[in-house]
Amino acid sequence: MHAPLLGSFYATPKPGEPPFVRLGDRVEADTVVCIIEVMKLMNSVVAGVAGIVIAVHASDGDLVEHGQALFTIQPVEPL
Amino acid sequence: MSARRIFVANRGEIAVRVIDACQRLGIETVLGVSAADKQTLGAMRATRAVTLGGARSTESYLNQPAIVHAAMSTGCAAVHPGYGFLSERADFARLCEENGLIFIGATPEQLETLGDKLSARAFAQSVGVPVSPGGPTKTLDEAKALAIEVGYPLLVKAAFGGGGRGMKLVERADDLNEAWSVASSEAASSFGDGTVFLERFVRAAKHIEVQILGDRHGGCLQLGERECSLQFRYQKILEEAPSSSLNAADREKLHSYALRIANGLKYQGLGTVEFLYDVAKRDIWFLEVNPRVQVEHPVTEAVTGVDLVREQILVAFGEPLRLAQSDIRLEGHAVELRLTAQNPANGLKPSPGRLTKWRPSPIGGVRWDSHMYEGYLFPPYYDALMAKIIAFGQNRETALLRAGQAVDRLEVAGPITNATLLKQLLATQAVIENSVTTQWLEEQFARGALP
Repeated sequence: MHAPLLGSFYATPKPGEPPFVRLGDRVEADTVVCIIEVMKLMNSVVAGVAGIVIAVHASDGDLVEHGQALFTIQPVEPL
Repeated sequence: MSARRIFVANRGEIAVRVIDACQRLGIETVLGVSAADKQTLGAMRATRAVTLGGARSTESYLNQPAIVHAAMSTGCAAVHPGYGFLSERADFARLCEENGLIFIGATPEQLETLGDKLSARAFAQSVGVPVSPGGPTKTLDEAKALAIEVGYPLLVKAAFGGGGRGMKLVERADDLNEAWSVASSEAASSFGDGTVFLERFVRAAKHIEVQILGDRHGGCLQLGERECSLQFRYQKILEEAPSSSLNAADREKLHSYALRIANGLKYQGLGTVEFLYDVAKRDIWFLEVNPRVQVEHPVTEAVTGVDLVREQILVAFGEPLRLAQSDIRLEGHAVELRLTAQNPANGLKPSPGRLTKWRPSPIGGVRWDSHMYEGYLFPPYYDALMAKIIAFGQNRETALLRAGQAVDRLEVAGPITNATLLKQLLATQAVIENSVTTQWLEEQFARGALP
């Protein structure tokens, strides 16, 4: 799963809160997996595919580029 | 100087040019690229490249929040906007400033004054620089009255709003009514203001411009003029310095006009004051100021020996000018040709594609500013410029000769280039004797004399 836009990556809705998704979690296409912040504007990013999160490639606060890999999601049949 | 890292918000040859200047100053660069530009020469030369967004300029090179965010996140102190894209946008300059980034260019206020045709003309007039006969009109009656003063042929266009959109040529008084009404309603619907600008149309004019450079401490210089009369639909093809059309008195007048504008604005950074020159009547008229580095800046660099992009970066960081006006001495003559991926046999239609061969021949006195390399995929999304061939000589004849040799010996395959047209132009008497005016090439195409 790739970043749809450039910005700062956030794995949690707010500092100190649990992350949107963890390794091994099951996500649907419309599950919010992270936030990408551009100039203080928060953009919710959805998985885009149903599956299991098997890798996370970015850390909180990282600058992620357009098209950069964020998560590896093993596809499964949607619920 | 405190600059350790500069964000380059552009692409193509100018991105490479800015990166080179930074490297010589010991400054690191971060280049913002689109998804289509990850494999460019600029991306390879920059300290780091960051993908801003999709191939479309609105998602990448015009994406202000992404650029500012990327510049701040990568620890850049300043943003270099190059030419085109965001280089003349006051809102972008302001956004940079508000976020603690130095915008390498004019101030937002200067960009606002110069970005609007009416305010730029008004400013030029206020410092005693002549503007072409014309002015804004709100009603058809006003237009009819003004047209008598201006004379025919004249141009009508939207007073607010940029580019050549809705511009119409009016040859006779009988045609004014219709042209004005159409222009006014177009202006109202496109720009929310129906004011129409009337301006004299000069058929046989030379395009001559003066390079200016100002620092933050009130220091200003002019670095001589360039002539760019050889154009195709307002796209310059051949530029040179100095102009061979001016006599000493007119040259001095032109330079003093440019300095009046620069000093009047307390202009900061690199800029170009453009004029139309009617050779027969020896009239000089202010056109506009381009508040940024210009495509054709290398011809000025060739004859003055000044690295303009280096000076532009230094003044942006608050350094005082290191040169006095008396240090600017011109030597020789320089010509620049714009090699583009455009097919002359097909109305100069863009011809992008994979560059399978690219071998510019090394020739003494010739500089290539280019982002080409063998294997490069020339994308269809942006402008068609492939390279600028800058030839220097002790005189104009030698410079033209070297430029011709450079084009002749270039081996290029893949995209169809305008090289055949450049060769034809260099062999044309009007170009050799520099009698061409801004409409000349279009007329040649229309008559079928070229290509």
